[in-house]
Amino acid sequence: MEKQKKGNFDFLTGAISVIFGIIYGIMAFGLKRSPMGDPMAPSIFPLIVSGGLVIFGVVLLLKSNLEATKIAFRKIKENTTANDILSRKMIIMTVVAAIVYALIFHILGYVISTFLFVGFIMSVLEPKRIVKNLITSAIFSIIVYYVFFYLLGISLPMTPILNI
Amino acid sequence: MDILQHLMDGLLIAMQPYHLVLITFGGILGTIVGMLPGLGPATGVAVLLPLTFSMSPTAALITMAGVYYGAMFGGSRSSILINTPGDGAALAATFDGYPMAMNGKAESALAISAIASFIGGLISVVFLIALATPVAKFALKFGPAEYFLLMVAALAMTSSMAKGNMIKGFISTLFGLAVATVGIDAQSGISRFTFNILELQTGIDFLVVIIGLYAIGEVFKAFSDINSGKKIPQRKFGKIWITKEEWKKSWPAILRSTPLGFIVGALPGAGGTMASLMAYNNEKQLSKNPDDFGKGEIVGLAAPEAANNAASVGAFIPMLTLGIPGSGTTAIMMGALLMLGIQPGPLLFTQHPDVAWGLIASMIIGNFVLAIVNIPMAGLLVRVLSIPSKVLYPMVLGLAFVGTYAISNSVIDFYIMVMFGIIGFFMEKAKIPSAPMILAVIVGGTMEQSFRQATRISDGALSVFWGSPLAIALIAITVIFVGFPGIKKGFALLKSNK
Repeated sequence: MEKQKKGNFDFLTGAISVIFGIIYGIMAFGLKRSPMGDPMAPSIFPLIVSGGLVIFGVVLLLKSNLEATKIAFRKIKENTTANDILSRKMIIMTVVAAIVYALIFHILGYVISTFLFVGFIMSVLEPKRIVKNLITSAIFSIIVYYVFFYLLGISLPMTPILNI
Repeated sequence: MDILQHLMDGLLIAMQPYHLVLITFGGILGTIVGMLPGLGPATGVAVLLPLTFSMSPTAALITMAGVYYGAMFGGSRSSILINTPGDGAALAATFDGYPMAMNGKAESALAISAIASFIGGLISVVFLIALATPVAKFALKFGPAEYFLLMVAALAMTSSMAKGNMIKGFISTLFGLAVATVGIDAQSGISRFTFNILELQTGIDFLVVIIGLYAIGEVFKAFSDINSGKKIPQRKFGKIWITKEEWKKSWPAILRSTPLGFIVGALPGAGGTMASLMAYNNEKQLSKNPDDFGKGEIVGLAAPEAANNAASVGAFIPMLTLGIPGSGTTAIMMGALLMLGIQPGPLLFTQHPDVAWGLIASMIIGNFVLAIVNIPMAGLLVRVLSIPSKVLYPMVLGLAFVGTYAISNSVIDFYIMVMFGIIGFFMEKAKIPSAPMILAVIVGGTMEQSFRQATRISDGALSVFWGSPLAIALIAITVIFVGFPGIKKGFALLKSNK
């Protein structure tokens, strides 16, 4: 039975769907009542959606089994290569960098924060050539700034002191 | 003829020198993004969308049509030369395109891919012109209840046709609908699911969701290939053209695959991937030498390329006439139209004929320009493939962020975008289709409004949803599509019993 040995995440997906559906449904029910017309009007559609999430989640739970999800997780653990670890690290670093980017975006202005963000990710992906990366990302952020600001007329946060 | 007059006007606008420059420029940029492994037309248009924000609607659409066609051409370039499709729709191009390049026939492969795309795209535009107005006129008969059912049907189709299983498709749809309910409810003024965050009161912009899924999520996925060795593409080419014999073999396949691709593309959720795979299998079955397929048979490249482009044109029908985008790329184009203050739907052709026909005309011109740019300049453009992706992916990320900022001027959207990038990444791992979710996020708001309008008109009686022949027909379509896998199984059983 080759098929049974194959892992999948269906059980987990079903469980998440049910839990999300319930929480979403409770929140939908708890919404303020509409001051005009049908007081429940704002909640009805979300309640239908929540019901659907729970129903299809349960169907998926019934069709799948916990064992398959366990196998899938075990397989991930067993088959992880050095490459996988590296790409996971890259994803985590990118997410962290994006959060920092959002935090410094208005403070440092577009050019500097983007230079740091793009330069950092380039260096995570290719740590051997940091200088080249920094030069590339500086050129990138300045070109994008000029294209957006002057050619497209879209205002981006200015960099303090330098006034670009 | 009204239609011809509109089309001529559109063509005259699209052929102004400024617009030709935009289309060429957009086409080249699109080609570059499309050539990046893992990134296809949807990502291309998503990332380059902000370029159009300050343009007039016509100029913006023309630029995007260029980006769109460019990304599709670019996608097949990397399929043929390095066996790495930009997106699902370019997958079929690797089956025979890459073996052709390996056999030293890269020139023919690049040429036939451009020619087949060109012919497929051009014929489909004619279909589009013929069908768009009647469909839009028909859709005007829809009341809120029918409109709601139409969206249910579109979502059901998308869920049932998505890869993986249908239940997961429905869950993906419902999650998308839930996302669409965030923000202030337009009818009652009550904020829903905003967690007291001011920026969420206007709702989650679906463009941010799409950019998150297509730009951030796809780059995350691409990270796992980034460290495996890079394939170096061929860079020196002879004359990029095909022989008479190759043409004789290919043209019937192109003509057969075009209508097939167009019809599949016009169905919500089916799209270019299915169209190109169907065209490929179709030609393989019709061929006298099916064994040559997969070994560098030119027909096996011409057919999916024609079908793919035809499908991409077909996908414009539901988006332009009904306001329901059937594919990721048309979803983004619809987002762009909404940003420009234009609501796609049945009224588009009467209220904004210039926009509708301008887009159709720019698709024709885009097709010509891209074919002209891509055939002689292929050698130059594929040099992009030798720029390390480790440099290009961070730039794609950088563009995704600046694009998101340009949409809303708020960094809150950075978090939302990254969140959807992560969600997209995990959905892929769990084999949950993302297309139904995207469609649901886009139509969710309108769907709820139609639902509420319909029940208000009927004073709460749900019978309004099966009160007209049109409504019943739409329900029937939904049931057929949802039941389709079961019906197919039933037929298979019947056959095996015989």
